Amino acid sequence: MNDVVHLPALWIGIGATYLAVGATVAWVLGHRGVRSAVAVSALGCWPLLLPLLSAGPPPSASGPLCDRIDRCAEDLHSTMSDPRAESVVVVEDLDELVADLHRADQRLGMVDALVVDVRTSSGDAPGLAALLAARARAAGEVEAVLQGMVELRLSIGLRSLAGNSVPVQERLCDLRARLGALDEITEFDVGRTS
Amino acid sequence: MSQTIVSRHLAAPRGSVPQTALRGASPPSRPTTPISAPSVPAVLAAIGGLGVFGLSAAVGAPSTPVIAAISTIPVAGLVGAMVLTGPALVAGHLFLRPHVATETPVAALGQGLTAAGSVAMGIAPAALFLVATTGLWPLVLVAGFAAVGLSCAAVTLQMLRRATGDSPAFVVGWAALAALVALRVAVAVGQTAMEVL
Amino acid sequence: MDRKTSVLDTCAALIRDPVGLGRQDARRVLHDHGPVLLLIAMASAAIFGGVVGTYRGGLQLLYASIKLPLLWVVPVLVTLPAVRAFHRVCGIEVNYGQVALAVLVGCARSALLLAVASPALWLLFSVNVDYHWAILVLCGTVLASGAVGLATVARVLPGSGATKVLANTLAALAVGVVVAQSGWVLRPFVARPRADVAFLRPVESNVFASTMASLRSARGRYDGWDARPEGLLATPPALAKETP
Repeated sequence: MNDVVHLPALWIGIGATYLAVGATVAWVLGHRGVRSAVAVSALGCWPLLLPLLSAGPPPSASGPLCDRIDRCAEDLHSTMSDPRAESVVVVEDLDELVADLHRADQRLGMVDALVVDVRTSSGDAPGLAALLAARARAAGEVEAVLQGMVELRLSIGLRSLAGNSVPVQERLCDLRARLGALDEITEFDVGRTS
Repeated sequence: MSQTIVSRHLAAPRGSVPQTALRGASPPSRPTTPISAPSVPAVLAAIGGLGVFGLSAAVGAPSTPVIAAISTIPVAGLVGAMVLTGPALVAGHLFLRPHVATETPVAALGQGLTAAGSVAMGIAPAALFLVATTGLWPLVLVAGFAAVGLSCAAVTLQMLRRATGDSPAFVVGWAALAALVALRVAVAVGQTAMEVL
Repeated sequence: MDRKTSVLDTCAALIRDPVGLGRQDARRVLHDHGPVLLLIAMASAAIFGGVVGTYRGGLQLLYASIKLPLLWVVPVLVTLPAVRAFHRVCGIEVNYGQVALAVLVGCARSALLLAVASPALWLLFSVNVDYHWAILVLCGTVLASGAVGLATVARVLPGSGATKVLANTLAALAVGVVVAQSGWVLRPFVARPRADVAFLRPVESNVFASTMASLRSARGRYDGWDARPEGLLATPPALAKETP
């Protein structure tokens, strides 16, 4: 008798637990500043949106080079995974490189929005020129990495013809190191202007 | 084979290679990669995953004491099999594979356990769904336990192969023995649960 | 809504380049496109459900358009951890975000295909096709769309060779079992023309037993079908009688 009573309660309990977890996830995501549509979706579909809970700022709006980064990444990925080329199993490295590029692009987008905001409210502030110069240098580095990705595609083709003579893995690491240098340049510029 | 042993003994400096290690000793046939043992939190998480799967499959049982007893089957079966047959695997490697580090079979067992735990945790929601909507909880328990056990065995074998460079037959034999022991432990726990009922 | 996350652009990406959509940074895409992908999946399944409901008409339109999105999304939520676990145990390193995005893209793409197939299905139902043929066509459409969705998930997720085939086969098996049982629990979708319209039928047995019973009856053996309620949703009739 007790088991008949508690079995439906168990099912209700499972459902209530699911909704409670969904509400918690939605509240945490909303608290972190994600879009309201994402937080509402988390109520019923929180298993799909759990990755957004991982540490780090919520992914913000993309920067000015987002489309080009995606295109370059997709082109490089398709060249890497082309079965006619020698297998280059570096997908994870490429994903990390693309993630770094997007982060750099988001910083550019943030700076662009900041420049527009400052010009609107305060006109040409004294530090604006230095910020624009730093922004131009950072954008130049990102452009150089994107150009490097194009050259890497050509290198893969060369490797397919010439054998194992082109160090693809090392080129990817070089590109990532180059992006990492952006942080040092930024720190140097900020130190110089402050 | 005896000629190979003799020629190897003549080639090696006196006393450099233990006589007992010559029996069946052979260098790895392919490149090896060292493997590391999982951390304690990872092992505990794996055991937790096995428990979660056991509970998910057992909620369909007719009464609470049986649920509690049945939910321990995956943990008891898998961990029991590892504890009972693990020493045999380690001893076999020490005897038959002198070039293999002592920690290697232990690390492989640990990796197998964490893989089993992650599979158990992964299939737990599906198991709970099937148990909640059907009366097939025994089938779900058995099929899930089989999947978890196969994952453990496959990853353990893969890790050993990666670390030792070859696939000795005795490892496959060990896997078969471990499977039988796991089944026996699981049946013993199940019988105890039925006696409680 | 900016251009990048508009429904039409996401639909175009799902049809033209789902692999490109699914292989981007998972957190960013889930944040930018997640709600839209869910909306596409549920709206497309609801459209297909509405068309399926036209066979019986009346309230069945509403019921089927509510249940088809549940049939499409609930198994995805339930089997998501299993898909990741199978890939990892097969030696394919993939994080939870990648799996979540791949599964969401596959689910949305397959639901979109259901919506695309809806006009043809409506045309078939409008000529009062036999009930059993209607069921078969429905199942075939769902199977075909589901297969496309699973293939999309397989293409998006990393890996190659036998391990990828094994991981995706195990994942497809898990998803297939849960979808089949979900469909059984949520039935009816195509209600018989003379049957009473109900949101859900009482839970009887399970999809596997009913499939075996159908195969036996196809061979002329009409025994072995036990319509007892099963699972935690059902109260056994003997115990129900004892309840005051």
